[in-house]
Amino acid sequence: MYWQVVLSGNGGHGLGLAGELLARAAGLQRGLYAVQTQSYGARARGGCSQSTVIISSQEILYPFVEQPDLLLALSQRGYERNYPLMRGGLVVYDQEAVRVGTRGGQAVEYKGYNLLRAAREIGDEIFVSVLSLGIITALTGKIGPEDMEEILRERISGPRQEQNLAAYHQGLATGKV
Amino acid sequence: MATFFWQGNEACAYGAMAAGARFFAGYPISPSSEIAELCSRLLPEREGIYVQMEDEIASLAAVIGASVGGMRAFTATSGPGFSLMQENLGFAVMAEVPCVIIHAQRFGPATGIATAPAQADVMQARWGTHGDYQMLVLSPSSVQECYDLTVAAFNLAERFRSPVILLTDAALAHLRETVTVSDTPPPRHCRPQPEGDSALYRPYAPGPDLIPAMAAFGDCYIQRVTGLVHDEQGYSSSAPAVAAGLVRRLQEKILLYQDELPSPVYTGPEEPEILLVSYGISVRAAQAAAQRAQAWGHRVGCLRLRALWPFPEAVIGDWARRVRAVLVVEMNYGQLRREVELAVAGRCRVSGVNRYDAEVVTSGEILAALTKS
Repeated sequence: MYWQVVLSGNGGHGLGLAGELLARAAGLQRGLYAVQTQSYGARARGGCSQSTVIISSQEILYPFVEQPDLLLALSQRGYERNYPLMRGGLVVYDQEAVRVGTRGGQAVEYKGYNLLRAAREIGDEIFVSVLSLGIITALTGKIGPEDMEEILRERISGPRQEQNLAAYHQGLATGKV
Repeated sequence: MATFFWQGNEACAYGAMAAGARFFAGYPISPSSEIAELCSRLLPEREGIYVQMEDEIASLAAVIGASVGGMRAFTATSGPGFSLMQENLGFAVMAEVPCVIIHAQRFGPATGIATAPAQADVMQARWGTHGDYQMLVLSPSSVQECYDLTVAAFNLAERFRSPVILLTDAALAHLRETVTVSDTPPPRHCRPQPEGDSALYRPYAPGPDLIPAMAAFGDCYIQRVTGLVHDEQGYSSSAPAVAAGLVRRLQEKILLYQDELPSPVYTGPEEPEILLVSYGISVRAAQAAAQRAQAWGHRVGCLRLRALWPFPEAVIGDWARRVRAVLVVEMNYGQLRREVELAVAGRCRVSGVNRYDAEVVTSGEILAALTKS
């Protein structure tokens, strides 16, 4: 396996944390290597933010994504920046924030959801990334939901833990439909 | 053995803790801020001291003070902050104060792009402060090495009584990878301590390996700390013989023992035709490119530099006799390439793969350059 994931959106979407959660959940599986990067602008809120994850059955020499297999697009800029790099795989996007007028290669599959709206309904837009992780795990089956839950409980403590778990479960249910 | 999934910055902070650092003074700046943030938690837990200073000039000044007091002390910064530290960096060289500066390079000059990577401060790290001196500069290329080389940096600082700069960059600083940490604490090199009659202590008299014994402020020896040219007692002097003796010793205490620094690491075929020379995060692209080229039957090897300064001139010179061409891969307009050219001295062809657009160099670009070599 060599799975390249890009989570893209705006500062404040929690993408750095989501990338870390995804990579650490993969790391729980025997024999899998995972790396994660994050890049963002100088602002704490708003501006482009992106986190990438590579999960591989072999040691990872080059830790940066060159050809995404999965793109989470929560902003138009994030989408525009990444879809031209795709030769196949899956785009999960927010239907309100992203218009996928121009599409990637023919082998790329598109799934649109109201991710940001659902996150706001849970209580905060920041839950959008963990909600999206639920959808991604359900759609791809690459990460065990129990591994993701274990990492979520380990990494997030306090009152936000339950909200994040709820967001994750909602994502799982949405992705399974 | 324990494994962790750390960011480059986190690995630097934990490496510093493992090396026994108990004092951090700094001013948070992207992309190094996580080091300050983490230290503000880790140090109080270990009865250490974290101070958020008013700027980077004061940061390094406080670090120097803590080290003179006997602590292992460090700071973390990025380009604009590193520029402000240059004056005190020279002071630490002159007063022979062990300290570590972690410099997560960002795109410059000036404010540049605060959160984007570059490797453009290689020469600033070497020559940023004025005067005639040697600088110890290490460059990790993985999160594991952020940890390992931070530990090494503290030991080298103590060993050579010198500042040591750890050069990372925005991409490595924010990269998360698995790090393996031994259960036993890493070996610790401590600065030589004075012994005997305190009245006879000469704070700058060279001991073994040209390093003077270093008393701490507050113990029974009088430690004079000055940026002026000074004699062995630590008294200022403008005598040509004193000045020459001091400069010579500051140079030779490092140059004569350069082989104690982490040496370059070669991976690839036994008899390579082309050698990729790289350091820091660029190594990752170089290694990936070499592997792909080897799979296509080409004899391409990769030399990963772990210490940039003093420059491993002899190692590069040896390789120049064995290969047809050297390609220097770095994220700047060609800073270390000139140094490689000097070491190669015309024995083979030298060219560069240079990226300076705030993105990390890719293996594809290196492969494209290889086809032209």
